[in-house]
Amino acid sequence: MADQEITFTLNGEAVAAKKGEPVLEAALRRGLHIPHFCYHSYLSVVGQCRACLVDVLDAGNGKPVPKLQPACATPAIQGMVISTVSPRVKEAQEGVFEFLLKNHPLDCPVCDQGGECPLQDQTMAYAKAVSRTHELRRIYPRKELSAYVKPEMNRCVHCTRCIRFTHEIDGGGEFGWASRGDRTEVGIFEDLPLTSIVSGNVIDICPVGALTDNKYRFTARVWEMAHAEGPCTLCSVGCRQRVWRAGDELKRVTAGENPAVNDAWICDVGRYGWSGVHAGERILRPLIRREGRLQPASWPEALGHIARRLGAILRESGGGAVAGLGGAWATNESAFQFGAFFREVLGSNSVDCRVHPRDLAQTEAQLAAFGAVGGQGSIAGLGRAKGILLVGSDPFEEHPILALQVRKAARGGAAVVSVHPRRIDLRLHSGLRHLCPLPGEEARALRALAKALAEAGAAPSGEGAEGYAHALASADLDALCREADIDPREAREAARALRPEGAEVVVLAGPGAQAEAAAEAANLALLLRAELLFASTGPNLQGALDMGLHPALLPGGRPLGDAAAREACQGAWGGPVGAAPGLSSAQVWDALNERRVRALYLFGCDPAAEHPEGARVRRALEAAEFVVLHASHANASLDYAEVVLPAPTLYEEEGSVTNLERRVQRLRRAVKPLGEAREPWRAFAELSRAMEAPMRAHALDRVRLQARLLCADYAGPLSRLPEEGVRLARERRGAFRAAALPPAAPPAGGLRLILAPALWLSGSFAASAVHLKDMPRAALRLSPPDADRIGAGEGDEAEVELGGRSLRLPVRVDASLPVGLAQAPEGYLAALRGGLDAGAARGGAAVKVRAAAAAPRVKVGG
Amino acid sequence: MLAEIARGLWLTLKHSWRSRVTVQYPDEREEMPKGYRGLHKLLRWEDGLERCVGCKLCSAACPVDCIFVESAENDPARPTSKGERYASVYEINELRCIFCGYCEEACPVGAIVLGNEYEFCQDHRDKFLYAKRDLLVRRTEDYPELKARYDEKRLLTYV
Repeated sequence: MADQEITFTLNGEAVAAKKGEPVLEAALRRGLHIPHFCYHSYLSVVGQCRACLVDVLDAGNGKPVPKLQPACATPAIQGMVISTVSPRVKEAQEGVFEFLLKNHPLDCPVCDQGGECPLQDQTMAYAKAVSRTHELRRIYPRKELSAYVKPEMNRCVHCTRCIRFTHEIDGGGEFGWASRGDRTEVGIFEDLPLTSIVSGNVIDICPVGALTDNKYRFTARVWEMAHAEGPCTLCSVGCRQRVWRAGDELKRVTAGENPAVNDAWICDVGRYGWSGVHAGERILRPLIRREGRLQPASWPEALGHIARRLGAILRESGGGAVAGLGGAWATNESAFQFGAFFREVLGSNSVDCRVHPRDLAQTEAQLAAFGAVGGQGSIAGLGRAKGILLVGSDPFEEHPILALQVRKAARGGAAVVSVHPRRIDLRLHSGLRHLCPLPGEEARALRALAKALAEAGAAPSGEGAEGYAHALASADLDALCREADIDPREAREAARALRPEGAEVVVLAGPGAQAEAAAEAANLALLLRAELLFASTGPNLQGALDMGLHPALLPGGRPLGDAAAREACQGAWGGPVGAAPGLSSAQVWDALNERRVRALYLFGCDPAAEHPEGARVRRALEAAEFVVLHASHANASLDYAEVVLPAPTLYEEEGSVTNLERRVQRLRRAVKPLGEAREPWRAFAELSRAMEAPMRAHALDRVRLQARLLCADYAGPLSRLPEEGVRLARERRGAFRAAALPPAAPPAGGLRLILAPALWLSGSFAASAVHLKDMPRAALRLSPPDADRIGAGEGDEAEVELGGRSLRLPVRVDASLPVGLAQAPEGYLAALRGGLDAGAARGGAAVKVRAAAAAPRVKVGG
Repeated sequence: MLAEIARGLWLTLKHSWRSRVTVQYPDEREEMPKGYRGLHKLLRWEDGLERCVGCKLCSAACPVDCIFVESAENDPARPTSKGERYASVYEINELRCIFCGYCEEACPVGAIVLGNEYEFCQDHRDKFLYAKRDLLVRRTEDYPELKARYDEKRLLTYV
């Protein structure tokens, strides 16, 4: 009966509430303010600041409560009568504020919180106008916390929000308090530094200036700034955030609230990634390569140059000779226009937003199983699930807010099973089961888990169920486990944990779910009747696919073979659309080498650095006759481009983006585009005009109109979008695909390397963000025995040799890695031009690592 | 008509006996009244540190938006002001200023005051953009009349 609606009376006004919810929460929602400091809607209730004391005149049973009650810890009951203005309450409030201000320094002019400070505001509203204090204030020794959080503990009012955040939400438990009474001191343990990737949230929740933003420190005051509220665009989760600007400069990002996505938290990458907008690496004006050097040009010159070169190639070789890649870092509108430009103006279907092979594998697996990409699960569902299966996902490093949702579910009693070569850390003390297969054998481990589930009574049903049931029946659990190097007993236990009767299960597939593992994850989701989330790294990969950036799918996900869909496109765009599927991002490279594709248009992507098969991609880019790079930041692919067009970042563009759960959210421009950057949808329209085949959509409204016409389920969101966005869910129905697993690779000797993305180290945007430089540095992670073997300790340099290239990286000793496995961040290695290429080596790439310092040179692996 | 002439002459005669109000400027200068709002001054503490902490309340209070402040963090070894914060840039566009005195009223540390000076002509508009070096006094003691101004205010005494 938790959701039972009741009403109570507060200061004579009727307030609607859910039965049992705190009186304070209901009052705030109704717009009636009660002073409070320790209460926070997303943290546990402690009732210790005593600012929210109220007078319960009638507790719902006709009797008053003799003492004042804290509104945050008083459950709402039908018929309650509460006063917050009675003389008793006034006296209590004045007393509480006087005590708070006894030790709180009045340095508001210096304090960054000044102007947005709950203590300042509530003091003006509820406290006595004069101070009677003449005692000296309490002074703590000055300490530092981290590069991001600046402490001034003299201002602390001991609300313990930061303590509760780190213990409950983040799980690191860094904050705690020492001493008692007047001397109570909140701080971190000296041997446990504040390095959590979500640590910045304590800045937002601190109700005073005790924890302020070190990067924003003294740069602006809140009344000088304006803010735009919308989704974060640095990963595919799409947390709601506020982007603050003063003049034409971004100043900071703070968390917004969206209970369906991020509650009230954002990660530090989202909080500080904006610094990439003002980075020196930004491309500010069009460039044309003349005499081997990229030289500044005007927009008409650059567009004219592209039009001439593309026009000539089209005349000689037809539209098939031009391919386009990218779109996952663009708004839906720009992605739509990119696809329309290729299909209508160039007559080429070779347009693909999935540049990384991982994205390709994951989307194709979803298409095979469900006939569509995305929409099979929700982030809110993850937070309230009773069972969670993580496939190749380390959410704290890849999608930190998803990690918080998994932790929320675990606090609610969910069983969490992780299938990952490493024992990933979710800061859960119990309830997390690890199945650590050999790298590349995730699919086999998943098949073993499915087999264990079948043994425990789970039966596949629906399309393809027979084949899958047969595959499971013929599989041998022990053999699968042996080949994947997991313990069958643990697989059986995990299967039992994941199958609570009638409870919701969510499968979350991360970047580690490659190739067969992605398909197996879909099978498991069907077997468990679970929600399924694929967490990609590109922020708008889902939206770009929905907008038709796929060689065989038109906008709205309709297949290219569907004549009616092609006709609809022709009706909207005006030109015919070819029926033959184009080249996918996997086929483009060979086609470039074989001269079947002559021109390549790179839209907001950097295959030269981010593709794991870098050497092959770079060879293909060299072979390309004409390469256009249309991006916001200079990246490794710049070297191959003949024309470079500047694009705004997603902080500078209006539009909509779609997150990994297929939630469409409105993106608002936070600052105007830097330099000569223009919205990409406009640039494509202008380019089409330069090619003398003008597109019909020459204004944002027209682009949206076309997108609404062609993408059926976007019709609503693109015309009216509520603040929290709209999740375009799909029916959870799919087909099992019982593909045979590839033969098990013989257990490899020596050290193997896996590359895994870390959000703050991936891509040219993160690389250019100065504020992200204080995040943990890129490192080669080694298990303690392996580190001992090469004689390198924490922080020592190691030389990594892979596929004939070598690179120096600091060593991080990481006990979560099994012996024989090393891990390095994916984007970083590639971002260094000429870095390592992981190749498509199954089971991790064989790697040589040796200590680079004067330490004994022991050769390992091979 | 004669009566009117006589009345006019009488007025003239009457005024010729009154004390003169004309001041032979620039040979003579009048004492400005207490509370006169002239050219801004940025004051210092007795120990020479700047009073201004760069809180930007003056610029927030300014009705014509003529004050621009940028703040920065003090170097603890060589502080510019008391506390952690100081104004690294402090500019007033004196042409735009309407000398309302709100900035002085808003200032929590008695740093910005409107002084007695009214002679600040320039031959170019740009020169009316007064920067910190133009506004900052060498020693507050040199301006006893300004000291009285902020002594009357209730200042924050946190520093």
